[in-house]
Amino acid sequence: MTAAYRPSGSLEWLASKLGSVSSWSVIGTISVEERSLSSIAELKRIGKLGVSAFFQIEPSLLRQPNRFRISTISKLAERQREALAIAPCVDICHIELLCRETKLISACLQRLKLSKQNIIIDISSMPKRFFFPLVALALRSGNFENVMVTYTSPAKYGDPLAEDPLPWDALPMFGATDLQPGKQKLIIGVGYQSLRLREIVEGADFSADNVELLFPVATNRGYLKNWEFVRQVYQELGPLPEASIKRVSANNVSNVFDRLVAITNNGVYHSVLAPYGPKPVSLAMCLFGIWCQDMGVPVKIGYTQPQVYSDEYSKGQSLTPNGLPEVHAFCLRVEGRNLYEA
Amino acid sequence: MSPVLRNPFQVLYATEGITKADFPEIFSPVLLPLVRPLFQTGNVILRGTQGTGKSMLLALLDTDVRLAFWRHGTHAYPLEPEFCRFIGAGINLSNSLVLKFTERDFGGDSISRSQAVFSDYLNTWVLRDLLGALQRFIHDAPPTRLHECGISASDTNLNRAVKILARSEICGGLLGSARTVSEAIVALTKRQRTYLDFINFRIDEIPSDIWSTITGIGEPLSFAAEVLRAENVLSQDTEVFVTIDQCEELLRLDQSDSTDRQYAGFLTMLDKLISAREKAVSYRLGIRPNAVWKGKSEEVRDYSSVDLDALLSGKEYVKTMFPRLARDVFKRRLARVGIHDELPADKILKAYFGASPNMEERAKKSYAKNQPKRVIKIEESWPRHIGPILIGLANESILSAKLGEAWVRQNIEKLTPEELNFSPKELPWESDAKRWWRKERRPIAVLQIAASSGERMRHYGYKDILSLSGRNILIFALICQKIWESWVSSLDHGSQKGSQIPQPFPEARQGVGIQVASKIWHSKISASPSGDTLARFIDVLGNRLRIQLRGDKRMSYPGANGISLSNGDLSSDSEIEALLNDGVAEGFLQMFPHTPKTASRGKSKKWYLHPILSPYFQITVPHTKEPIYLKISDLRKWLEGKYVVASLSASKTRGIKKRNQSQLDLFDEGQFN
Repeated sequence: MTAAYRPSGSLEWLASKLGSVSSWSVIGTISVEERSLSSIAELKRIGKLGVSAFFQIEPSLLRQPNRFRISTISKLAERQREALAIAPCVDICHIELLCRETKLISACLQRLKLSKQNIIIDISSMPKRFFFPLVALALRSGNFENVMVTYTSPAKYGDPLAEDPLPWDALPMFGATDLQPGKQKLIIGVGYQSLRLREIVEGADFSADNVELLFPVATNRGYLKNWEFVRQVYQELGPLPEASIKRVSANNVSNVFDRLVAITNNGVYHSVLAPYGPKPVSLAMCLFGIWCQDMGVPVKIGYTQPQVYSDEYSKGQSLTPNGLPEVHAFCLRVEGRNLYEA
Repeated sequence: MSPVLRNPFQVLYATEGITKADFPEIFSPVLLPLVRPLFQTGNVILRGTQGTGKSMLLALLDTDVRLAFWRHGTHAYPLEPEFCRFIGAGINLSNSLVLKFTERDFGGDSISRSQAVFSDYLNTWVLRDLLGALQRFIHDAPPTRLHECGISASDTNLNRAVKILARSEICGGLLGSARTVSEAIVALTKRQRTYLDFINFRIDEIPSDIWSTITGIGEPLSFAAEVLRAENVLSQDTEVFVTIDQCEELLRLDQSDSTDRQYAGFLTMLDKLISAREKAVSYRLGIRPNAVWKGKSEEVRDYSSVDLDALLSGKEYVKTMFPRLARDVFKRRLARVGIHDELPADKILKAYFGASPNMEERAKKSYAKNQPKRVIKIEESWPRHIGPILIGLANESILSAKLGEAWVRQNIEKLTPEELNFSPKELPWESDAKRWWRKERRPIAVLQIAASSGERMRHYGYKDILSLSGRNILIFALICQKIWESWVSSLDHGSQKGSQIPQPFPEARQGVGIQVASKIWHSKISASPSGDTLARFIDVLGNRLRIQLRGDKRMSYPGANGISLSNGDLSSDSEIEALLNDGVAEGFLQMFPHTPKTASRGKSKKWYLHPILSPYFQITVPHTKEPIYLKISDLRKWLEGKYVVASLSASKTRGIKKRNQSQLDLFDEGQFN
């Protein structure tokens, strides 16, 4: 496979390069995070905001106690008002974080149905449980001419980020059971949250030789937590060969995707992916998973879904030197051509 | 790296991080004589806390592990020939994604349709695994081994059996027109992939050709076992063992049943499987401790139980079982990095870790500051002679002085001034009559000495290591790993000084290793299911107990490193009961039956923090005297405001709802049709 050019950059710049698109439909999230509305605010500023649809992801009612619940609900109401002020005509889907997958997929399909032919999925505040299937469904649909994903970093992350992880389980639409023993790679995106490695490797024939860690660089933030994460992996699996730590850009989806294709030798190795790293790295894993599925290569992407997210998950949004939100955009499909395909 | 610097315990889990080919080197057969039911006819429910070796034992049924043993030059397959006549197959409920069927909607009669699909998927998976195992055996195993196992080495027999199965009403839908075992596996894989497409939302409905050939739980497996025997693929006395792993996960999920997701429906199917009368196949189900297997099946009649925690605690059979297991694991781990110690098994731990300190030594080591007035508190109201005696005694024996302080506090109001007028040569608490009083209070005295001195309690020596391991081989390996690491990190870089492994490891290195292991085990709490809430719960318990033990200057409750609740009281609060059960299942708490002092309290249970958490919380390890008697309402008060439990009204409502749902699901006759 030769490396393809897959445009990415600031949303304003990329939108200007796709000048034929006069308005973009957006699917985003109304969340406690300020950055959750950065994309629509930016699109409105440049005059290209079309239909907007949002998931307002509510804390699970069944999950008690939730020490962040009251504050989360009040922050969501406030953010909803802000969203309505930016985009007066929006569709808001109230949905529980831990809802059944059948409900989640149906909600994704409905939001996609509302969107026009040029779509942006803003993953800044969207949990992986939602954006993985949403991106997969968008790319499987023939209704969209252009598909972009946007992401805005926060100014600062909170601590803790989330609580009470569920056991390791496949993300919706990314389950696999036919991974061949001795022909598998476990690829872990290095992040902040505690990893339940024992569950991941249980029953699989993994050893230190077929585990790869995608270590995010190009960001000074949180590197200590990243190394602590690596230490946890060593703690349970033993020291890995030095080469198993692959330094990847935290913001270059195309590059990470190509690295994944290379690590698995174009899918010769089946893979289990654990997206614990930055969102763009997780997006690359999602796109790689879709690529594998299209190629008929078994791939499993799993996660330990937190049951509770902090009401102070992050603060602010990273800004450009001009003081505008730094919204990164990644093209997945341009003029009907998928950019992340075999 | 020098072999002696390679940490033999670097990989903690014997079943993970170590490939099946390496398994023979690391497997310890010590428990095998006690778990014979696993390798004999009949269904078995295997209970065990995380780290008790459940997965390691079940791995012996795995075909690839058996092949690895047969290929291994040094380590023979550890079961005697009479227990080798079986073929193993299995399913892991988590990895197989079978539980994902609760995530999809089946329309109208959703529960019974999801149960039907669960059953057929399980059958498809296990039958494919069984046929694959036979195929691998025939191709890869030495014929003599196959003969020992009662398995025919003939492809022809197997293919003949497959043809019969494919033509049958029971298995025909699964195998289609397969004529060979390879074709049968392809057909089963295709069916499995269709299910996977449904799970992954690539298809909206399960195709009608699957619905029209759907199979009842276990039926194709029993029929296949009979045909394999009839066609001499298996001899008449060769067992078919099917392992259903991660049943504990299903039991845990059952607690969170909602109107949408009803895991109890799947448990009903497993219950049906083991209560079936036919015995062509024997099932092995791994579950967590404390989990009650609810349903129609009955122990003895339908299954036998193997409880690893009970076996390792020595309550059944052999008291020294855990030390024997630990010694064997230690020796094998050393051998794996090239250290072949010729020491007899019963000496090896003592050689590497030395003796543990007695309480007197422990107290001295925790009293580093040598400031008696900081440790021994004399009240102004006490008779004048007591202070100088205790302070003087502290220079000689700080432990005796601390016990003396407690004795005075206990007796100051009971005894007359004359009775309290003891001399340094006749200390009442050191009398022979008080030997049990002293024995019971030494641990709390050491704790209080350490706390007053601003020191940590010292732990080292093989007895401490075994006792802190709390019968959990994973924790034992973790402690050894951290001691080894601590020793290696103390060596001068590049020097040959450390090329010999010390015997024993220095006390200080052991102390550091144990402290680190304790901290790591504590950090693991938040990584367990609903772990942050569980971590807060354990922290509340640990901190409360520490405060109680430190503040008990009279040492009236030396057993206050645990709590007791009556069974009736406990069952009234399902939320706290679930937290306690989770803590035990994950290896952060230990639970024992408790006979309370007063019969009116009724049957009770007592809980202690796992001993490895004692260094972290700085509480005592031995379970002496009575634990703290609590009412569930007291415990709930401890937890209020700590984000551990919901408000009382909400939790009671949910608890009642859960129990009712679960009972309806399990005993509803209609669901067995």
